[in-house]
Amino acid sequence: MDKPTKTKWMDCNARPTVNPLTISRRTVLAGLGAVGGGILTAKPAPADDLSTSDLLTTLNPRQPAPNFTRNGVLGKTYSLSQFGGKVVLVNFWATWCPPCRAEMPSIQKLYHSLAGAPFEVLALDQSEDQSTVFAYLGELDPMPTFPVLLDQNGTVANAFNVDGIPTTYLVDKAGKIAYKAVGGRDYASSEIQKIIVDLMKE
Amino acid sequence: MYESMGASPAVVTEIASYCVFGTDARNLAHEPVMYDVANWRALTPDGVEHKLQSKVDWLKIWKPLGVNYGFSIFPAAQTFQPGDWGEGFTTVKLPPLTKFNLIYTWSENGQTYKNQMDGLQCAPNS
Repeated sequence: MDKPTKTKWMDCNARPTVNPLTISRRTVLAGLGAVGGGILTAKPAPADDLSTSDLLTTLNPRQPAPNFTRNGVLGKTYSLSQFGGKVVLVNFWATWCPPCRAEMPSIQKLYHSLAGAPFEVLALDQSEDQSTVFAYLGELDPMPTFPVLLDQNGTVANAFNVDGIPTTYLVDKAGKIAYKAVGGRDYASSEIQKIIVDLMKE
Repeated sequence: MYESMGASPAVVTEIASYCVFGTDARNLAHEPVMYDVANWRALTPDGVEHKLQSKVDWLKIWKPLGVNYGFSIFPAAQTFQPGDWGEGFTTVKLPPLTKFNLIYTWSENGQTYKNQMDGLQCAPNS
């Protein structure tokens, strides 16, 4: 399958081989019919499709990360600026967001594997209250041990120009955004861990 | 879903009057890909192309009401770097059970491409 201008569209649901943008749709409400051809694929939502080949986007030049201060679900207040000298993974998520839920265990695995290193995770929940987030975290095994913050009015997400969730940034030790990922990732993958370890060495 | 997030009856009623379907998009290329839902259309059997109600449109309604559920809606316009992907609800003002084809576009290297997903149908009233 190729761009429409180059080849005929396929009249089946086969996944295209040279498809810049693959779109699929889930049945949110019952009644969606069969999928047609073209570059679309009829497949389940990739909520847990966290391919390790999907790496992070390098930002060049690096821009200063907007500072923020938010309360954590356990009551403690955190600011991004207090983690100067550390690499910080800033994750925007919500409990109702399937890919956010799917990647959360991998973030915890990453956090655990880098314990003691100059690395921190700040996960900012979007537009939910403390009890909702706290209840969800209690369902996770392992339960996240990194700070989970409440960005209830979405102003931090707006400051980072987040269009959709999950979106994740890696902030270097100088407080600048070095990498970005839109959509879920497997943060426990060796490839992403290497990126973070290299950032910590800078 | 919106009820469970604490949306007011007015908000729930409004979005329930739309045809809502989940959309996932992923950039499988090795270069940036852009899309803009404002350029997408729902083509009904009578030949009419219906503009979709984008996230931007919803936020115009929701923000004055003090609600912030924007992330539930598929981002209105976005640039996906290689490996990026996203998902969310896409909405169009069509009655329940309406059949339509989704016409969508994306840009790559400054060129716009168009494609169509056929055979969609809005859900019945629940």
